[in-house]
Amino acid sequence: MRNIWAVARVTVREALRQKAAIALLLLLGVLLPALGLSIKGDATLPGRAQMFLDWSLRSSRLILGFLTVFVACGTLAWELKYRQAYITLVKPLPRWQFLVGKWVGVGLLNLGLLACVGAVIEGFTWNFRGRPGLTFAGGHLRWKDEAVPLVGLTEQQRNNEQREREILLREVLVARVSLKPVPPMKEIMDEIDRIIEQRKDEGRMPAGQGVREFREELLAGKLRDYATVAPLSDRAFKFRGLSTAKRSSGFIQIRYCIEPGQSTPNDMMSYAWQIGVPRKTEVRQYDRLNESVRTVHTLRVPASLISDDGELEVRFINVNPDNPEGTFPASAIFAGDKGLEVLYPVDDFESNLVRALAMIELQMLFLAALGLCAASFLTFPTACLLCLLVFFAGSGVSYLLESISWTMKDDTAVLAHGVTKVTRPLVVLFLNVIPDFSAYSPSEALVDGKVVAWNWNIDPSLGRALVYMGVLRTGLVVLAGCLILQRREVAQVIV
Amino acid sequence: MVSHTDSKPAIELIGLTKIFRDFWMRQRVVAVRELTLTVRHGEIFGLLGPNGSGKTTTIKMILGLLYPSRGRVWVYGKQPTDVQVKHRIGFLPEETYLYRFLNAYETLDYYGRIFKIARRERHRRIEMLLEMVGLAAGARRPIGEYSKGMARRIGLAQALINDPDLLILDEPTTGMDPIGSRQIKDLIVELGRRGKTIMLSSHLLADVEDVCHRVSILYGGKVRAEGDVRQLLARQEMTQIVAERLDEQTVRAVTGLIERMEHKKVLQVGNPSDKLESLFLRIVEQARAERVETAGVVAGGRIAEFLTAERPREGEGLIEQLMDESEREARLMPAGAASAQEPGRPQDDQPDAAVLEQLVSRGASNESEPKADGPARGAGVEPAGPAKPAEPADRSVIDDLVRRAADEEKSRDA
Repeated sequence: MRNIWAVARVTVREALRQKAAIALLLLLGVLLPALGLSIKGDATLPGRAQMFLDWSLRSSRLILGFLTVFVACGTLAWELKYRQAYITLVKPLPRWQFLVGKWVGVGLLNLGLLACVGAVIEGFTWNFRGRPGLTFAGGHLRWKDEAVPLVGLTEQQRNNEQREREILLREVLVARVSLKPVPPMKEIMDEIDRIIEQRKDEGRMPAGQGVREFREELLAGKLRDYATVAPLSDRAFKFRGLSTAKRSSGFIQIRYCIEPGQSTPNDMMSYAWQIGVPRKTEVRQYDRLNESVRTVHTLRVPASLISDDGELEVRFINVNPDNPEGTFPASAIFAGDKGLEVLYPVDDFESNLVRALAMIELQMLFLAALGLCAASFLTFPTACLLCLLVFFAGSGVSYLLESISWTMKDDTAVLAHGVTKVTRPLVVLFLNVIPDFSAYSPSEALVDGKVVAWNWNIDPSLGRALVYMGVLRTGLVVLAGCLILQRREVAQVIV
Repeated sequence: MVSHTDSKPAIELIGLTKIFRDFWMRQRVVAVRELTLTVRHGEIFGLLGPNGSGKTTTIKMILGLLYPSRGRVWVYGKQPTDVQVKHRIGFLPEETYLYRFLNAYETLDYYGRIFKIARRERHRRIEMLLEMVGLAAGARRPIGEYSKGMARRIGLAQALINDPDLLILDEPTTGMDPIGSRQIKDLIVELGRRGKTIMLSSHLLADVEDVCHRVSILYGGKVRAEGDVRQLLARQEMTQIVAERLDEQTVRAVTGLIERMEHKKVLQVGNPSDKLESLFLRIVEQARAERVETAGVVAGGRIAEFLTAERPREGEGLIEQLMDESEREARLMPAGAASAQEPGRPQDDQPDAAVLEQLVSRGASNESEPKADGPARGAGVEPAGPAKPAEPADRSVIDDLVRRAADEEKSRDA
């Protein structure tokens, strides 16, 4: 352990005394404050805070990614090339300790830098809140149990300011769990089975498509139907697992974003929500008149509307409450991640920020391991290229896999894009082997005020990231690096 | 640190072969072939050879930086990749491959930590080593700013941080000024005296000749000659006499004496020239005495105390004291005038005093005595040549000379 620590110390010193590393650190040091001071967002306080969080986390991750790749590849590749390893490796230092020491050093460097990033972000969020120690409780902004007076503004400005701060604290600087509605899968699957049987009986199965593909296509269609509410109709969306929300919170939020089936006048729609579980809880109706479509709206409802067994029913009524006959004939589609969800707070922003930064640290630890492993047998530029390829491909694994699945459906596209039947499986294999950084991206969660949880069932999950990326993948890569370094002849061929 | 219970040699190479192959695994170069040699405990062993003869490759295999294609390497009876055996090794590579971003202190601290030397002891050793290599003043400067010689010195210090039993030095005097070069040679001899095993690789023959007990000469990856330095260098067919300045008449008399008694020709008579190294050292020592300012290396040179010494045997202390005194005197005199040698160290290019004394006493009785029976050992005169006597210096003679010199000095003072 002392050996590992000694190597780690020197690695940190090396990184901090390199010009390239210092340049990247300076960039980080200038960029974050500049973002905090200059970003305007959508001119609202929550919008500004969200954009700052988004940009600062993404840019920090990008800069740290480059720094990690350069430092990890450089520290080993240069040491082997310029033969400092000749002196170090003839000391009583097992080669695996040498490599692990360097990995720990790069990890410590990132940890220190992420702590700085966290401090800057926290500093600006304090600024966004108005003053340190400001909290939201009992429906008011409070500081040391006293309501905070906002002076120097007009009544309307003060109201706006207060509302924005309330939204900031309630929806951004908070850690909320998000739950999606649970579709009636049994009924849907029964319906699909019935359709398939009927098609088979009638001999009308689609040509060139297997049963599995056809089933998947039908399922996607049914789920789309489930998320679509036709005009002058309604649909009850059920949420489960809200017992914690009922116990711990006074209010929950229902967030939705409606995609209209066709263009609506002024991109507006009128509709109503009925929330509560019939026969179990009170059911309240919330009329929404002329709300903009394709925009995220939040409805704040009391947690008492959740049943004792943790269920909540949210019924969307696609009827203009003011003028049912005048309802615009457009379907309401709740599509995508932000279509419809229930949110409730479980933790504070600071703890969430720490977990988000820990998730970035896990990504950097993987990159550092990969850089060291690559540098144990490749030259510096080649090792860097490999690591950057993994870094960027890993950041878009889902997108790339989806793209390839589309090319697999269309052979013309395959030829047009030059993706052969040989290379395609290799690319798919590569994308499945590398970690899906996009699944462990904390910035979207933080911007949305969602929790970065240890829980495996909540995305993004720090626990899952720790096990799959931090332990399994990183461990395997470190092990591979140790084995390669152990076997290779360190000294260059000089006769 | 020296383990006297070690029954195995410090280094043992058996049929060692190293073949370098290209990317396609085709045999390209045979760097070392069937090399078998043994380095015993406490000896200073020289690995000689021209560039590309396989010296460095051999050392790298001994250190586990390269793996042999065939054959075996044993260091203290263990494989070189064994971490435990590395606790006993100090290594100075042919160039100083140190971290340019660390300063001298940090460098030694780093390697000291790897050897798990306790904090206080580590700092003590670092201070002593920096003092020893003359870099105490520049200890906080990054090594990247050092001159080649300064970097070499810190490289030597890192090789000694663990007080190694086996010190492997690859071209140790490369890039060093003559003072540094001399200091390193003195250090090697001193460490050898303290029982360290030293393997020295060099193509600077003078370096090896000055310090090594035994040498192995490589060419094309094979051993061409191996043995005791004195045995290898001794020219048994010649005798060298060095005396204080003699006038023409005495030279003629001595020459005549030799020709009459030995029936041998005197090949050369002249004034021995000083070695350039000695001249240089005298000038620098004088400058230092005058405290001339310099941004470079300061005196240093004192052996770090922590480097383990063997306990001297009874009575040896007195001899060593006398030897040291005589060595100091020899340094102050021109090289040819010095006559005493350190025990255990190969003799320099000074002649054996006993031969001179024997010749003078014979010369005194020469006029009346008949020719000696049979030819004595081959006698020739080669004042500044490298020939060395085959026998080690007679301590009684040296003691006698030292005593006489002291008496003479006293009488002069009186």
